[in-house]
Amino acid sequence: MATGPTSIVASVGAGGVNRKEDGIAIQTLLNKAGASLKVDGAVGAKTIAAIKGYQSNYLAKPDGKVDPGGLTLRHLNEGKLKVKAIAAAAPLILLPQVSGDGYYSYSAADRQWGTSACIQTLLDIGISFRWNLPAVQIAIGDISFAKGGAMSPHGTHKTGLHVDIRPLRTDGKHLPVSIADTAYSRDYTKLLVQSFQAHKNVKSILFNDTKIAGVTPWAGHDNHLHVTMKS
Amino acid sequence: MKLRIALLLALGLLAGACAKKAEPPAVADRPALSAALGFRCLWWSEAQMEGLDPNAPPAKSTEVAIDHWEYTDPIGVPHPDTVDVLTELQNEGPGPAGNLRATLSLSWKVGPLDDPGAAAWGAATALQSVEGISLAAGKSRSLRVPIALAPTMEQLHAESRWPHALRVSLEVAGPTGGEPLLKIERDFPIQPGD
Repeated sequence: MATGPTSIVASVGAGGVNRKEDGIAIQTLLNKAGASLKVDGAVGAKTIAAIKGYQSNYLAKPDGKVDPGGLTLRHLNEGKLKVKAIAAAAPLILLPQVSGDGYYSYSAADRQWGTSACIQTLLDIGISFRWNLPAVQIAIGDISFAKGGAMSPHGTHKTGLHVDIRPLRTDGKHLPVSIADTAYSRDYTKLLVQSFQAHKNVKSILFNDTKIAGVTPWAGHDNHLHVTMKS
Repeated sequence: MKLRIALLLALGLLAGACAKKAEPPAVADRPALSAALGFRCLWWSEAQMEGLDPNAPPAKSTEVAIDHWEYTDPIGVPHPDTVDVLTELQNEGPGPAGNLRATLSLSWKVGPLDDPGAAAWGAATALQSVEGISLAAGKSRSLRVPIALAPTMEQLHAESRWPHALRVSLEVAGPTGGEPLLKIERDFPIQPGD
């Protein structure tokens, strides 16, 4: 007996509502498309990876989520596509938790994992900066968790490519500073920005001191630079 | 003669005074109340922050006033897990104000994590209600209520949503109910990290 298309009540997958009944429905459809999931309604990493593998047939950036009435559910119901294997991302590595090599950490170690290239970029800049300004250290904050993924309360910082950096102070103290503070050093921060801009792996810098060339102003960026790496 | 007039005047005044005392109490005027509403939290002092080891931070021991929650520097900008609502109700009138009821309510402005413009206010829920408040002339009474922010943030963040603000309202009613004697509200923006 023919059955109608599968429907779900709420979203399933990464960041979804993940009702058990909906999870079972999507896992069943994914298995028909070639996945080998345990059909239990528990939506974990394997189910999300299978959704992404399926979405990679038609999305440049799979989000790992199936919405009620959405494109992915329509494709799953049509049953023409297969789940593709997605190459696992390279593991993230921890920023060396040392102080004195031109930088210091102002975020906890579990939040300072980056791609190999990202961490190497930070180390390169730390070393070169130490030569330029021996008394001043770069302050490195949140990057990503060891396994990536959502890092509350950030919108980004999921893939080891985003780094928060404090502007620099005139007194070199290991304290926060905002561009409106008297302790803020535009000269030092300008040197810092130039160091990042000169590195081939740096994609963009969000920061609100527009007197410094090359930064992009963005709400909430008076007291930190948001550096995005290419890889 | 002068003595008799003075005596009569004195008796008259005394009689008047007694009559005034014997009058039934007048219906109380609407109490003249004022209120302030703000937010407080514990955070690190600047001395604690200097050279702070983020993997073994000291206990936050400094109470600071906070008008918004902002995550742009994990140490420098206060973004506590819990914020206290502090209200102070003051009787500005010449007489006492009794049997007041103060009610604090809370609502959240929730929307997509990356689109604050699409956030919408939810229904208000009761935070605390205190009855039987009496204030002598010129006296005040404080109420302090903690609001746990972290559980709401964590739950919504897992769904790629965010509580972009909260709103606390204070409403004060008199003993006979009816229209509130006073109502104020204060918004508290909550800015996630980028």
